[in-house]
Amino acid sequence: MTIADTQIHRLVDPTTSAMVPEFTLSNRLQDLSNKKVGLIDDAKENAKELLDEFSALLNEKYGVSCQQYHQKPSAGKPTEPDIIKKISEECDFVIVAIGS
Amino acid sequence: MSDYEIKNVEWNNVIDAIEECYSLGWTDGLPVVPPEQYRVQEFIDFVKRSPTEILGEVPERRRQISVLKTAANAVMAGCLPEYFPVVVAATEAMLAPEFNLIGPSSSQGGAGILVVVNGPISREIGMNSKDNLFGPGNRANATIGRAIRLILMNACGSIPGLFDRTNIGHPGKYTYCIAENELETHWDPLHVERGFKKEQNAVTVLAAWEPRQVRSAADKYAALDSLIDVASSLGTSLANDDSVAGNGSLVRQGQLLVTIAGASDFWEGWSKDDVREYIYPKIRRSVGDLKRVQAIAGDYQEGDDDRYALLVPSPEDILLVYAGSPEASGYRSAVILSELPKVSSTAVTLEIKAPEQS
Repeated sequence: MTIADTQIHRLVDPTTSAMVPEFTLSNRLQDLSNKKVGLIDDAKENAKELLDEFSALLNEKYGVSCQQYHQKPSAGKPTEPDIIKKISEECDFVIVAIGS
Repeated sequence: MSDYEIKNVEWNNVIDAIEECYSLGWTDGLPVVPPEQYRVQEFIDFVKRSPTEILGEVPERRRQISVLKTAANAVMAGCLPEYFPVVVAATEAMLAPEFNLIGPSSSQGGAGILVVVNGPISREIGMNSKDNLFGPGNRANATIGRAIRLILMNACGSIPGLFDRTNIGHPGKYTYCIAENELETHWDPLHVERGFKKEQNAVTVLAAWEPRQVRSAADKYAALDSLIDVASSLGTSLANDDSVAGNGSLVRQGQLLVTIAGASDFWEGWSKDDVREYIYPKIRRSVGDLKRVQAIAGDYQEGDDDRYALLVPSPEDILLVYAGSPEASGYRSAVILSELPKVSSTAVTLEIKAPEQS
C-alpha cells in the first residue's frame, strides 16, 4: 500500500483538556503552634471521628484550636464557595476528611 | 473552526478509519463514526449556534464543554443533524449545577445518564416510546443516549478507571434515552408536570441505575404494589445511610423514575398524582430490615420491624413517564432509582431550543 493510496482526513478532536488557571500557593506555615484549624467533614462514615481524633491530637501537641467545623450535606457535592471563603479567612489551615 | 481543534488522520478504507478512532482512544468500546470536520459543521449549522459557545462546565475537572465538542461526539455516536438540538439540551441539563455532574460521573455507584425526551420533536425525529423501550433498534434513541456518554468520556473527562470510578455499572452507561408516549394517554407528560407547555420540546436527565422491569397481573393495584416492592428493595443506592448528613431521614432518600405502559384505559380515572399519592408512602423499608443488613447503623431494637424509612423525599420526587408497550399485559412498568441522594444530584428538565430560537 503506497502513501498515495491514503487520504488525509480532518477530524474534529472530541476531547478537552483541563484548563488550569495560574495560581499561587498559599504560604506554608512555619509551625503549627497555637494555630487555628478548619475542619471539613465530607459526611462519609467515620469522617467526624477521624477529624475529632486528629483535632484533639493537634491541640495536645501544638495547641491548635478548631475555629470552624463544617459538615457537607453529602459527600457528592463540593463545599459551598461561601463556606470556603469563611474558613480561609478565619483559619490558618484546613483539614478535609475523606471518611470510610 | 481553528486548526488546533483538528486532528489530521490518514486512512484509505472504512475499516482503517474505524481502527484509527479506536487508536485515538475516542470510543466507548464500540466503533464510532469518524468526526469529519465537514460533518461536524453540518451539526453546528443545523442548530445555528457558535462552535465556541460554552454549554456548561465541569469546574472540578477544569473542563468547558463547547458546542463544537458536543457536535463532534454526536457525530461519532451516529446521530443525524436533526437529533443535535436534543443532544445540546441534554448536555446543558447534565451540566446544570443542581445535577452536579461531578458526583454521578465519578461515583463508584455506576450511574447512567437517563435522558427522557418530551414534546413534538420526539415524534418528528422518530424516537421510540413503546415496545423494546430500553432495547435496541431505534437510531434516535440509541445515538442520542450514546452521544451523551461519549461527551462524558471525551469532553468531561469521565474516563473509566481514571475519573469514572464505577464499581459495577450497567448497560445504560452505553446509551439510555427514551421518549414519552404522549399521544396514547390522558396523563400530562413529564415536561408539563415540570413546568413546560405540551407543545414545547424538553429533555429531562437523571443520574440513574438500571431499569428494573416489573411484571404484574392486569390490575392497577397489583401493578402498583409490585413496583412498590421492587422500589423498596434492599441493596439499592437509596436504602442505606452512607455519605449524607443531617437530612432528617434514616436513609439517603433520592428521586425515582417509573415508566408505566399498557393500554391507556388501564389508568382510566387515575391521574399521575393519584399514582404518586398511592406509591410514595409505601416506598419504604423497615428499620429492622435495614439494620439486619447493616444498611443503617445501630443494633436491632424491639419495634424496629414496625418502624419505617421512606426512600423518596417527597411525592414530587417520583417522576412518572408513560412509556413502554401499549399492549403490555404483564410487563407494565420499570423502576429506575436515582444513583445518588437528592442532596447530591437532582433531575433537571430543560427546553430543547429550536434552531430559529438560538
